[in-house]
Amino acid sequence: MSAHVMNYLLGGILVYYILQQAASLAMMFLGATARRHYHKRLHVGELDRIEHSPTTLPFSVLIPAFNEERVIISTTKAAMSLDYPIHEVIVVNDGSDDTTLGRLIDYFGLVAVGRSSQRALKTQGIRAAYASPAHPQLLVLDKEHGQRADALNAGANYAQYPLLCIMEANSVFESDALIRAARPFQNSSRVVAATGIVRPANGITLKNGRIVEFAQPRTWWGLVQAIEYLRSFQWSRLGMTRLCGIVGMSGAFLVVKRNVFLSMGGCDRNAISPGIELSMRLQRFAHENRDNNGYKLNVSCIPDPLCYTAVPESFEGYIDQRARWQAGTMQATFKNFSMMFNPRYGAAGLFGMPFYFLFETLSYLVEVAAYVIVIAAALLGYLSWSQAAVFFLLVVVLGVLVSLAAVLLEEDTRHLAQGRHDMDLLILACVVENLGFRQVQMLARLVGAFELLWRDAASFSPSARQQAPRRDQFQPPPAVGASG
Amino acid sequence: MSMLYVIALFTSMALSVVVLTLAVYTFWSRRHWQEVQERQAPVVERISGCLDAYQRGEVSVGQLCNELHEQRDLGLELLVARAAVATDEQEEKLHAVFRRLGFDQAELLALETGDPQRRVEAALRLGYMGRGRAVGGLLRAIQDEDPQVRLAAAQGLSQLRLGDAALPILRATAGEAGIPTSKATELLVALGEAAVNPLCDFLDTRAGLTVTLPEMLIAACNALGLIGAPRAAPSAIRFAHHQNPNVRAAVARALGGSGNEQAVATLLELAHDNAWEVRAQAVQAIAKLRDKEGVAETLVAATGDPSWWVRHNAARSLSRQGRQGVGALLAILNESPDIYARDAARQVLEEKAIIHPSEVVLQ
Repeated sequence: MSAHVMNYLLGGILVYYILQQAASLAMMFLGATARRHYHKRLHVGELDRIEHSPTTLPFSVLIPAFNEERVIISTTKAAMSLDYPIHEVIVVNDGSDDTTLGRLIDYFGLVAVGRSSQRALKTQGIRAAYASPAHPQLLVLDKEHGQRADALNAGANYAQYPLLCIMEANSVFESDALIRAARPFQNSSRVVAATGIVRPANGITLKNGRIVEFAQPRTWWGLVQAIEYLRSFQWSRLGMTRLCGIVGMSGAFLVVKRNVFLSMGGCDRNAISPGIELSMRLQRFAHENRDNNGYKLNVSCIPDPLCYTAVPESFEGYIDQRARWQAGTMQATFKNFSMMFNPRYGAAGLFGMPFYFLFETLSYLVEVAAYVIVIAAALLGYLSWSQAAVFFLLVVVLGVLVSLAAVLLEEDTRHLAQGRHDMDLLILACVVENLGFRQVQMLARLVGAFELLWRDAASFSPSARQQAPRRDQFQPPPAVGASG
Repeated sequence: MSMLYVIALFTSMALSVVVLTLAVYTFWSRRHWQEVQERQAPVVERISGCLDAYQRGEVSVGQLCNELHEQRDLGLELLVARAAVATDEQEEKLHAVFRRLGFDQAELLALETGDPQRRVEAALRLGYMGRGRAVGGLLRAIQDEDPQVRLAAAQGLSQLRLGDAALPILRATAGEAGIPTSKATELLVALGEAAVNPLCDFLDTRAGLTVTLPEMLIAACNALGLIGAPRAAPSAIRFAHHQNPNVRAAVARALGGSGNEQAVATLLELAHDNAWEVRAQAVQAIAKLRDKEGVAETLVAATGDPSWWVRHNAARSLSRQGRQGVGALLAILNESPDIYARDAARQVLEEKAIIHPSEVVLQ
């Protein structure tokens, strides 16, 4: 390889890396303006009016659960106790091997009922439906094991209400999350779906299914992911929203109109990350269809943290999750590749998809390639070791600076109600993240990308989901009514 | 590779400057925010105490205005927040304060500014300041070029519970950036009884409009259904054969809410509509008209409808028909040859705990 080619490679990597960080920073500032704009437009008493309006659309909250015995009761209770005039909770036990179903039956005093469904979406067989007169808003479905997407489709078949709220069994919502999520649908009939900001749940305290105390995670794994959630899942998504091109929404909190969900054929049953795949198809749907009057449809993002999800706090859990995410995002992106740079899909095609693909899906893979090329260049004598060291220093310094910007912007736009200690920890985590954790994630993502090539989509199902320690102070009372 | 050094150096420096600026600004802004909070806390406490005393009748409007005079911005914020959760009686008392301090005049002037966000705030605030000068301003603002201002003006008008606001709210549903029908319905329902006559007049005469958009009809009918006005039935029946199924479904809702005997025949007809959305709505609306001839028979027939939603709603409506309806559901469960009808009946009977799930096995 000539020195000329090597120079181009190194220059290309450097340009890519600088562009990526600049784009991330731009998205952060755009996201911050989106949040300021949202709070300016949120009027006094508006949420209260939504809560008490007779026209507020009711929600069906869907919770797919596979081997979630440790958290299923607290999650279900939290979902049932959300502040909202009318909502039902549908827990879909996706063929769990553990006691997820048994715990639900015992705790809520459920009995098997003959519940018919619309059967609009094809799913694995439903073994039984369970309900209880003591908890009329709760329905539990027991089905043959499929993927998470299959469980969501099954839940949607049984949903009664016009808005579906998709969540994960290891997540918990803010008590007014549904009211905030209903706002875009109340204010515009052209909104087909909405998402909210997702944060790590590790560190929060629950009481009677409600969040009573916020704190940052207390482990490095948790803190590093808190930074990552701020940088990628918050500011990037909000920046995309400002450009009207949000893609890659989290499956932990996604609201979609039921008729839209059904007409799209529900979730792709082979999707590794159903949330991301669904969000891309929702953008596709919004741009390929019009409302009854021929007006454009759109997808919205609520710039408030509405959902807290347990993040893995072990090496194995972290690797497993990131590999699955990488495979899921790549699968979804390739499936919807025709949207890329396609003006038909508006800002989603021109900005959202390219940003997501170039700077999020591919970034870790490019970074691995960069490490390999720089080390090879140094070994082969194209680059001095001091030059290689400058490159690595640049990667770390830019990474730290961008993460710091994410934390500072959050502090500036929300005036976090957390203590000074939390802030110090987050700032420290910005540095620590780039000194090892980022490289681990890079490798995990590389593994995920390769696994996508030879593994069946079904095999990505999380076999043993990380359960974050949540300090739930609620002591379960005896089961209500008869079980079985 | 010296070029690489230069690029790396400049990028790091540029980003460092951005982040440092952000850091300085963030800490300054946090400190400033804390200072403002600390400075305002005793004032907020004092004004809130004074407002409480005023609402209890212990302090005169003059005394309260003297207190608020020096802190107009904060006072306005607190007054609006109070008005947003006030009862009718409390609202009346607050209107006097708004007027006496000239807040209504100031907000009316703000409606003329070039800043849409300021106009939105003004329109919303005017809604809490009582009728009078606010009405004219809000009626003008509902035709504003900015959709957010139109929405805020509609909210302001609904807050004033003025019947004259009904038609402007309906008109604001038109166009790409129009108020969604669900929001318009909510605002019309907030007007309460005052909206019934203008809405019925609109359905009777279409307010002289050459083109009546389906959204306007849907919002009007839905609102009448939710308000529950017997007078709505003859007006809504005019649109029972409208070409848009969403309008026909809204007509069914209005008729169900009316409780008027004239509605029965039309609802029974709508229960056989071609569109499943209309049938589903009609069988739900019929439930409110108990003991009328033909209702039970129509509901029983609808439990065998091809659409799941129609079967589901029909069975639920039957369960609300008292003993006769429950008897019909049990008869369907035990005797109907239609497995879908039996399934719908079983689900509702189980939900109502009339039968135990283990008692029935569908073949």
